[in-house]
Amino acid sequence: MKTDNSIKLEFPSKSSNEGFSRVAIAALASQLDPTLEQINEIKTAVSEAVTNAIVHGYKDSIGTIYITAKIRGKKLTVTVRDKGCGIADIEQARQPMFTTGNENERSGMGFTIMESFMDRVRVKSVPGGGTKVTLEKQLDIKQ
Amino acid sequence: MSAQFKIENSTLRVLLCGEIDHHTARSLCESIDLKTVSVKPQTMLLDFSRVSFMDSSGLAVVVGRKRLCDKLGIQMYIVNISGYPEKILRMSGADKLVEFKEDKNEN
Repeated sequence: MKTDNSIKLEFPSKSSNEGFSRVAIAALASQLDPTLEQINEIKTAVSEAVTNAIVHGYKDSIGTIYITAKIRGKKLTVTVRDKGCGIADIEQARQPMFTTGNENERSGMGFTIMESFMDRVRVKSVPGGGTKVTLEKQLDIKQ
Repeated sequence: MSAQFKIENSTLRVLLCGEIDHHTARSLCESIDLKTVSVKPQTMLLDFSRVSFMDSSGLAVVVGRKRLCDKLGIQMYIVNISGYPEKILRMSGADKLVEFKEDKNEN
């Protein structure tokens, strides 16, 4: 049975779309028959990437967030892209506890959680041009 | 996401219900803080048993409430947490800041 599939999403960077976007990706991933734990990990990682685009990429403005998700064999690949302010120092941004956001609301653990819950996390960013985060997870490994 | 409050003796139980993300965290924190300041309990229990989703915003909720509790001299505990929400808090070191407890007297 061929399971290859893909979706594209485009939505304004409103925080009310955080829930919608992670559920959409989880629904696609569920076609690969993942465990509940794997679904929760995917939802959490997507939520972190989308929240970063909303809070950091577009800061106080509303822009468009672009998500693609595809399954090839048993592998899920998700990209979350914004055309926001970009990240000046990606290595610094990926450090645990580092945040440029409001310390009462943001914990600085977004990238750490993405890295821990997904197999691979790639970040491409152009200051002033935007950021693209690619998340990969192999779903034939049952935990 | 909503928070249900129960006061018994001088303990405030905050039962978190639903999804904790960046969208829901702000109003959640405001409602908990308002209640905490008005009740001034000796102990506060943050009960995660009915959390259906959580990302790193849950960590910010814990750290911020711990700060307020420290300021007001309130003992704070996290109760009934398991699965990946617990994993998120432990990987962030929140278990060194706040004690996790099992607690069966939730209802």
